[in-house]
Amino acid sequence: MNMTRRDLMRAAMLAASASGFGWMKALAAPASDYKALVCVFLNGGNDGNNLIVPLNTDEYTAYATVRGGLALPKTSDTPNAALLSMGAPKSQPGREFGLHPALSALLPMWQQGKLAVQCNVGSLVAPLTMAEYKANRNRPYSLFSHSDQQAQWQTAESEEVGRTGWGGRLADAALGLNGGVTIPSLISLSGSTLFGVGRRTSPLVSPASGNFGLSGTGTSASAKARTEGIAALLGMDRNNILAAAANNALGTALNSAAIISPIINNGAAGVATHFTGLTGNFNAQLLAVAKLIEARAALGLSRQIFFVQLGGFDTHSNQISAQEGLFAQLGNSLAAFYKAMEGLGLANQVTAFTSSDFSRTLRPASGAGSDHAWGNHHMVLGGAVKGGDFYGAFPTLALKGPDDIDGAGRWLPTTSIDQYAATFARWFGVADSELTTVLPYLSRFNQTHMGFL
Amino acid sequence: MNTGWIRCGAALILLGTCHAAGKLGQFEAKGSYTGTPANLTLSATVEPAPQDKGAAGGIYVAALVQNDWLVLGPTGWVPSTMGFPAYRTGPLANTAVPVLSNLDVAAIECAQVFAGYGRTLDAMVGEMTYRSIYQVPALWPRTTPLPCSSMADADAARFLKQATFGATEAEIANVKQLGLAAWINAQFALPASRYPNLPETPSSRPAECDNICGRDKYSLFPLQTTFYKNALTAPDQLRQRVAFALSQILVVSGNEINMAYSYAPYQNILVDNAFGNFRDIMTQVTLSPAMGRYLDMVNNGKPSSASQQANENYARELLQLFTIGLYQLNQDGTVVRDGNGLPVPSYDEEMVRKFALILTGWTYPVKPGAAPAKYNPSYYLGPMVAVATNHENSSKALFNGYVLPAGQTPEKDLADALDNLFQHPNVGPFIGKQLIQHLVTSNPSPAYVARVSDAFANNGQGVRGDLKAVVRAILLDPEARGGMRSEVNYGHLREPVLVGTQLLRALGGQSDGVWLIGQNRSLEQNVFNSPSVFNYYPADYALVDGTEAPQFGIYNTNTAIARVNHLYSMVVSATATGNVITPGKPDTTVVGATGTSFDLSPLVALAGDPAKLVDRLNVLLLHGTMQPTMRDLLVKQVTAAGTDPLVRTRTAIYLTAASTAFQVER
Repeated sequence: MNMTRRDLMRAAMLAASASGFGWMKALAAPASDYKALVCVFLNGGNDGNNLIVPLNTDEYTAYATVRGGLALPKTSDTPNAALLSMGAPKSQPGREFGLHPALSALLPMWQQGKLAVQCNVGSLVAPLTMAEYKANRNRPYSLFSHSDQQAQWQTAESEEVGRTGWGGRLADAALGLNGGVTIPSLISLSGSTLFGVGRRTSPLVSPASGNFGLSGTGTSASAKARTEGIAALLGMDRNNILAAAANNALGTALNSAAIISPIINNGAAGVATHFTGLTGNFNAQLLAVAKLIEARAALGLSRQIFFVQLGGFDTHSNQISAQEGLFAQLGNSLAAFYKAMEGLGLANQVTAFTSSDFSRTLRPASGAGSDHAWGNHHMVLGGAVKGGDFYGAFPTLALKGPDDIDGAGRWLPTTSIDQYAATFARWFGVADSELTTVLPYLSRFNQTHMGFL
Repeated sequence: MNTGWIRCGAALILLGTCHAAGKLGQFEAKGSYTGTPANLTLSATVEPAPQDKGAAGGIYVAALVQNDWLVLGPTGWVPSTMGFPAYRTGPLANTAVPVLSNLDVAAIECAQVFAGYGRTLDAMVGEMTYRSIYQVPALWPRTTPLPCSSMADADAARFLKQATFGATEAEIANVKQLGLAAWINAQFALPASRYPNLPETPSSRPAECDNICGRDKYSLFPLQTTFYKNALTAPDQLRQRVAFALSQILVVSGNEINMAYSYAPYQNILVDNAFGNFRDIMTQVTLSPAMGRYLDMVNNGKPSSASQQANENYARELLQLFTIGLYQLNQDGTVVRDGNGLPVPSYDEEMVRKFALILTGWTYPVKPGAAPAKYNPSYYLGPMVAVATNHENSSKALFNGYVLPAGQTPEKDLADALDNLFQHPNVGPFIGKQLIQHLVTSNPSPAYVARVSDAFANNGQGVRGDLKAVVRAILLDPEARGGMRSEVNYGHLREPVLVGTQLLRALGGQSDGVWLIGQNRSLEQNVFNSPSVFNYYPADYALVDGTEAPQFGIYNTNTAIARVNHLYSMVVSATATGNVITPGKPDTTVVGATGTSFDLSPLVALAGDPAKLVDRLNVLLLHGTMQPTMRDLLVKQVTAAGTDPLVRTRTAIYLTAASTAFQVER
C-alpha cells in the first residue's frame, strides 16, 4: 500500500497526460511465459450438494431421501431438469456422478478432461478428525458465518482474522516473475476484495466496462488545473492513516486506469465473439478478464490473477429455482471464457476455479432452502487441468454419517483451502520453499498440493 | 497574514463557546480590555484546580492577534512562526501571565487570551487538560464576525457533520445559540419525518403497470427520494442521521424486499425508534414482515420431522449482526481473549439452532379480508403474527444461565429470548461502537467506547438501551469534540451519501434525490439496496495494518476515481445558468420533481481573489482544517484555471471536495 515518491510523480504525470504510459512499457519485462488464475467467487455459500450428485442407486437414494424437495431428479420429463451424467471420475471407476443440469455448458469440458472437481474442501486450521472437532479442538473461527468464512476462503487464515488475501500474497510472490511492473498483477472486476490484498501489493479494482479514468482531463487551462491539482493532493495529508490509504488507492488507480480503460472498453476484442448472446454483470466480468488477457502485452505482466464474483447463493429459501438461474450464468459464461482462452491459444496458461463462503446443509430448512454448512465441492477449469476427475474425498451423504458434524448434513472438510490454493500457487510458479509464505498453514498438512494441475 | 501554522479559523476548537471571562474546568484565563480603539490590554492568570497543582507539564499562553497567534515565550510575545514554546514548564502552580498591551486595534482580527496546560504542543492545540479563553467583548469596532465566533463556528460545523447530513449556516447559528446539549435535546423533541404509508400492491407486477409504475411501486425509488429529501431538508436531522446509521446495522435490502409499500414500514421502525429504546427496536425489527421475508423468519415453521430443520438465517444474523456479535466483548469494545490469545466466541452453533427454534411459528400479518392461516399469504402492513401450533416450545438454555421454560407461547418465548439477549453485556459495546463509527470516527479509543457502553447500560435513571443517552454520549464525548484531531487513525472516510448531502447542504443546494440515487448507486451505496445483510460495506472492514475502516469496504481503485468523477459531474460539468449549477434536471415523471441544483453566486463573488475563495471553502467544507500547503496549492490551481470567476469557483470546490481533507472527515 505504501506509495513511493516516484509512484506519486507517476500518478501526477499520468493525471496530467491522458496517454502517459510510455514508462510502463519501459519497465515491463517481456513475457517469456504467461499464466493467469481466475478466482470465481460464488458469494453467499453455494450449495455443493446439488453441484455434484452421486448417481449410483444407493447413494442417490440416500441423497434424495434427505434432500426431499431439494433433490434434483435423476430423470425427468421436463427438459434440462435431470442431473447430467458425468460418468465415472477417472480415478473412481464404477461410480457415477451427475452435474447440475444448469451447468450443461461445462459438461463438454469435463468430458474433454479440462474440468476437475475438488471435493469437500473448506477452512481448516490443521488436519481435523471428527473426534477432534467434537472435542472443540482446532476449529476455524466463526464457522457458518458468511463474512468470516468468506474471509477465510480469501485469506486462507482460519485461526484469527487475516488482513491479507492469498491472492494478494501470491501476487507478492510473483513480483519477481513480473519483472518490476508496478501495475497491480491482481485485478478484481467485482469491487473490493480481501482475496487481493497483499503484504507488498494491493489489488486493482476495475469496472468490467465503462468509464475508468478521471473525467474532464484535457488541455484547457482549467482541465490542467484540476488534474494537476488532484495529482498534487495525493502527496498531502499523509499523516492520517485513513487519508493516506485513500490517496494510495487513488494513486494506484490513476497509475493504471489509462491502460486498463481502453482494453475493457474495446468493442473489437477478438474474445468477445465467444460471449455472444450472454448477458449480465457476471458475464461482463469474465468478458473483461478475457479482454485483459487478450491485451496482456499492454500491461506487460507475465503473471496475473483475476477476481470475479457471482452473488445470490445464500439460498435459505426457494433454492431450486435460485441456484438454477445462477448456475446457468456461471456455466455459460465460464464455458465461453474457456473457449475464448482456447481461441487465444492460452487454454493451457489460464486456470479458473471456484470458491464460496461454504456449502449448505444437506438437510433442507423450512422455506425450501438450506442453511450454512462447511466443506464444499469446487470446480477447476483450464487446459492445464487434469480434468475428468475428482480430487479429495467425496463425503458420505448421510445425516449423522461419518462426515456430518451435527446431524444437519454439514461436512467436515477433508481438504483444506491451503491445499487447494497451494495447487494453484505451485502451478503459477511459486517455488515450494516459498509456498508457506503464501499459505502459512500449508506445512501442517502432509499433502501440500492436490494434483489437479 | 498567513504565516502562522495556526490561524484564527483553523484551530483551537474549544469545548463550548467563548466566555467573557472564560472558565472551563478549573483553569482560568482572565483578561481585561480598555475600549479605546487604539489600545488593547490582555492578561491572564492561571489557577489550576487544587488536585492538579504540582502536576508536571507546561503552560502555554497565546493571544490571537491579526490572524495569527502571539505566543508568550521566554523572550516575551512572538508570532507563532517562532515556535510555540511553553511559557512556563514544571509543576503546575498559580501563575500570573504578563500583559499584552498597546496593540493597534484597527489591525486586529480578533483578540483572545488563551491559556492551556498540557504536556505537549499538540496538547496545546487540541487536548489540553484545561483550557480557557477570554474574548474581547462585542463592542469591537468591526462589522465582520469575530474569529472567536468562527472558532465556535468550526466546532459547530464539525459537530453538525457528525450529527446531521451536513452543516448549514442556519444550523450552525442554531447550535451556537443553543449550545450542543440543548441542540441535541431540541432535536429529540422534534416530530419524526417518516416514510409514506403506502397501500398494498400485488406481489406480482400487473401487466398494466408500466415502467414508471414499476419504479414507483416495485422498487424502493419513492423511499430513496424521501430519504434524500429528509436528509437535505428535514428539521429532525439528528433522528434521520441516527436512523440511517441503524439502517446500516439492522439491514434489510431492497434487493429482496423491493416493493416500496413492503419496505417503508421497516424504515419507519428505525426512524420512530432512533431515540427510543434498543429493546423495542429488537422486537419490532424481529417482527417486521420485511425482515421476516428478508432473513426467512416468516413462515419458519416448527420442524416437521428429523429431515427438516428450523431456518437459521434470522437467528444467526440476530446474534451476529444485530445484537451481540461474534466475540465476547469488554465494555470498552475490545475482544475478550482466551489463554492462547484467541478471541472467545459469544455463542456456538447450538445457540443459533436454539434461537432458530424459538423463532418458529411466525407468519405474515393477516391480510384484510383473509382468514388467518398457518402460513398467511405475503402481506407487509403490521407486525408478523404467531401461530402457536407451528411453534417449537421446548425448554432451552440461553445466555447467562437463563433457561427458557418449555410450553410457552411464541409471543412469550420471543419476549423472554429477546430480553435475555438484550441483557447480554455485548449489546452496548457492539451497537455503541458501530454508532460511533457511523457518526464520528472509525477507531474510537476503548475509553470512548466504554463511556458510550456505560450510557447504553444506564441512561442515568437506571434504564438500559436508551438511545437518547447513547447518542448524547457519542456526540458530546471529548473524543468527538475538541480541536482538529491529530491521532493518526482518527476520523472516518465519508460514505458516498454523506459526500453528496454534506456538499449540497454546505453550498445551500437543493435536491429531490433523483440525481443522487443514481450517482451513489455507482459509488456502491445504492440507498436501502445493500448487496447483502452485511450492509454496503462490512462493519469490521480494516486496512492491512488493522486500522478499522468500514467505509473502505467500498473504497477501491474503481470507486476512488468514481468519487472524484462524481464531484466532476456535480460541480464542474453540470449545466450552469448564470451561477446556478444543475447536475440533475427535474425528471418530469417524478411527482414534485425539483432536480438537483445549487447557486454558487456567494462564492463566485469571492473568486476575484482566489485566496478568499479558498478560505471560504475552508470554512464551509473543512471547518477550518485546511493545511497551509493545501491552501497554497488550491490558490495556485484556482488561479491557473483562468480568470472566469465561475470556472475558478468550480475548480476550487472540486479540488477541495476531492481532497482527503474533505473525504476523510475528522
